[in-house]
This record gives sequence, structure tokens and C-alpha cells, in this order.
Amino acid sequence: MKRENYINEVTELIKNKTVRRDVRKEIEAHIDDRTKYYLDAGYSEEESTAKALERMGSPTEVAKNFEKLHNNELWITLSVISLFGYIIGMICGFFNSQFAYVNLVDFSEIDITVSIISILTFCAATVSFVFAVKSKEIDLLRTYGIAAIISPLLSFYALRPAAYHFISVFTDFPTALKSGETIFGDEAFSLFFRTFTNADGNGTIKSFLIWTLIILVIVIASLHIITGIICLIYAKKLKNDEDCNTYENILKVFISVLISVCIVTVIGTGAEIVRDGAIAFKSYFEDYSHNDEEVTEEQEYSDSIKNSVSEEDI
Amino acid sequence: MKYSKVLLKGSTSMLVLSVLSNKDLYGYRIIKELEVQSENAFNMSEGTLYPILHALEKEKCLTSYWQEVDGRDRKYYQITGKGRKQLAKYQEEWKSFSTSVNKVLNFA
Repeated sequence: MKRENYINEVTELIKNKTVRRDVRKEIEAHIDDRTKYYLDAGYSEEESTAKALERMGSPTEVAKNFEKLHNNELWITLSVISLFGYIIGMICGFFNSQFAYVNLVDFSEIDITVSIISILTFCAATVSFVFAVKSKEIDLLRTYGIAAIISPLLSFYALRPAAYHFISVFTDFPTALKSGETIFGDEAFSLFFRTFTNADGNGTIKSFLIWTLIILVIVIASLHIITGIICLIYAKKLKNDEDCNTYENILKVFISVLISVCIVTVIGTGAEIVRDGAIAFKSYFEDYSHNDEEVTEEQEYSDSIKNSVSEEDI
Repeated sequence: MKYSKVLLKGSTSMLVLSVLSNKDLYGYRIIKELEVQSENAFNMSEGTLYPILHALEKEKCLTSYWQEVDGRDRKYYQITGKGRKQLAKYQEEWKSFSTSVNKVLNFA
């Protein structure tokens, strides 16, 4: 085999042109150094090249190793782009869940944008999952894994009012029975009941939408968590192929889920406190201006008395 | 003494890091250095060294730079802090591993 053929064969599987050129230069220099070594030892030029190439080993094997190393760049790029879309979708979904909260409680229009964003985000997530696995990049797999585990928690935040009502059925129902109040007497229960039935007379379409939304979010969330765990375990396996402790990984995943729940709850509660604070602040000012009006009314009243007194005087 | 491929396969990264821990070298010189230090015991396929070097560079155990030597561009490899840590880990593993293997072999 000739020198040129060998180099071509080694580098032909590398798709990135810059990388291919650099590898070419490196391998060429090595073959030339080895050839020179044999020339100095007294071999003919042809023999020296042949011996140098022989020492390089099988070009197919080297080419395959290079391909594994350098050809995942395309997958990395695609995965990073979709991961970016995924995280943006996640953030949008989080802010949308605030509206979903309001809508579930207020029985005003159901915001279906939250489910549309969820579906789009899920598409981006699927793409980035596939590419991250294909690229076999540990950092990418980890980023996806963490994002995939956190994102459903943001969606669950949207489901929190529903979960609250659900729990309150079991906690408030016995109390309601004991105290002799009607089942619908308790606000939380009736809220729950009216949300999931047609009791408030808003028709079947709305409860269908709510159920679709909730089932969709649950399905998507479970898929996200499963793919996230797969990615984290795969990343761990790639990093430490021989001693991969699955139980330890699962424990770590659960701890990270727990921490994420705490973070999301703190953020959510904080947001609610700020919102409630703002409402209280606003109503305080409204009360204050109302008091002003009362004062002027009193003044008007006293003025009118004065007037009437002066009229009587006359 | 020539070693079998199975024995060489896992230890090449460790040997490369070890050679580079003293000075920056390019591919051919790494092979030469290995030959000298091991008294010609390592007869690896020289082409396979490069994917190993590139993998170590990707893992940030090595960095590289081009430099002209004897009218030709050479890609020098330099060990990083992470590479040194990795090497220390390898060395420790290797010591305990070889001790255990020796015990078993001597027992037989």
C-alpha cells in the first residue's frame, strides 16, 4: 500500500474538513519520521516506506477509532440547538402554568397554550434526547437528564391546585360529614367537584379540556422523567464503564428530584407571596382613597348642616 | 519481551500520560520515548496512538499546539492538571492491581 492511500483511508471517515486536514498532517509527519528512521538504518526508500506503514497498523481500525471520536459533532450541534428550544419551552411552560393556575380556580377560559407549549417542548426534548444519545457526549447527556427531570416538575406546578383539591376531598370530606355540613358546603371540595364535573353548568367541553390537559401533562411529564433518568444513567455508564452502580444512580436521581421539587416549590410560593402582597398593597391604597372620599362626604354633610342652620336662622 | 494486545489495550492511555508528564512531545516522539523507556517492549500499532491522543485531548487530559521543528509542523501534546490527576489515579490503581495479580500468580 502506498503512503497516500494509507493516509486517505485513515482520514476518509472524518467528516469535519479542518479536523481531517489536521489529522492528515499529523499522520503524514509520523510516517515520514518512521520512513526516515529506516532510511538511516540503511534500507531502500521503498522498503522504508513499506516498513513504516506496516508499523502504523491497520488503517481501517485507526479510521474507525477516529470516526467514533470526531463524527459526533453534528449530533452535538443538533442536540444543543434542540436542548436550547427545550429549555425555552420549559421556561414558557412555567410562566404559562401561572395562568393555568388562575384559570383552574377561576373557571374562566382554559388556557390551552400550556398544552400546546408542552407538546412543542416535548418534540424538542425527544429530538435532543435522540441526538444526545447518538453523540455519546457525557456533558450533553447530563444536561438533558437534569433538564428532563426538572421540566415536568414545572408542569406539575401547574397541576398543584388540582392536586390540592384532590387531597382536600379526602381531608375535608370526613369533617364535613361530622359537622353536618353539606358536601358542597366546603369551599375546597365544591371547587374540586365543580372543576371536574359539569356541576356549575359550564358544559362538558370544559371538563373534557381540563382532563385532556391534565392527562397530557402527566404523560409528558412521566416520559420526560424516564428519558432523563435513562440519560443520566447512560452518561454515568459511559464515564465509568466498568463499575456502574445502578442503585447509587437511582438514589442520586431521587435526591436531585427532591431538591428540584424544593426549588420549584420555593420559587412558586415566593411568586404567590409576591402576587398576594401586590394585591394586598393595591387594595390598601384603594381603601385609603376610599377613606378620602368618605372624609369629603362628611365635609359635604357638615357643610349642608351649616347651610341648613343658616337657613333656619333666616 | 513482547506483550499481548489484551495487556496493552487498557494501559496505553496511562503510558501516554506518564510519558507526557515530563515534557511536551509529538506523536512520533511519544512512541520513541515509550520504546526507550520500556527497552523496546511495547510494539503497538503506531496508528492507534493518534485516536488515543485525540480522545485524551477531548477529555481535557491533554492540550495540543502546533510548532515547527526541522521545517515541519508538529502537533505537540501537553499534559493538563486533569491529566495529572488521571495519571495519579491510574498509577494507584495499577499498583494495587499488579500486587493482587502477583499474589494470585505466586500462589499458583
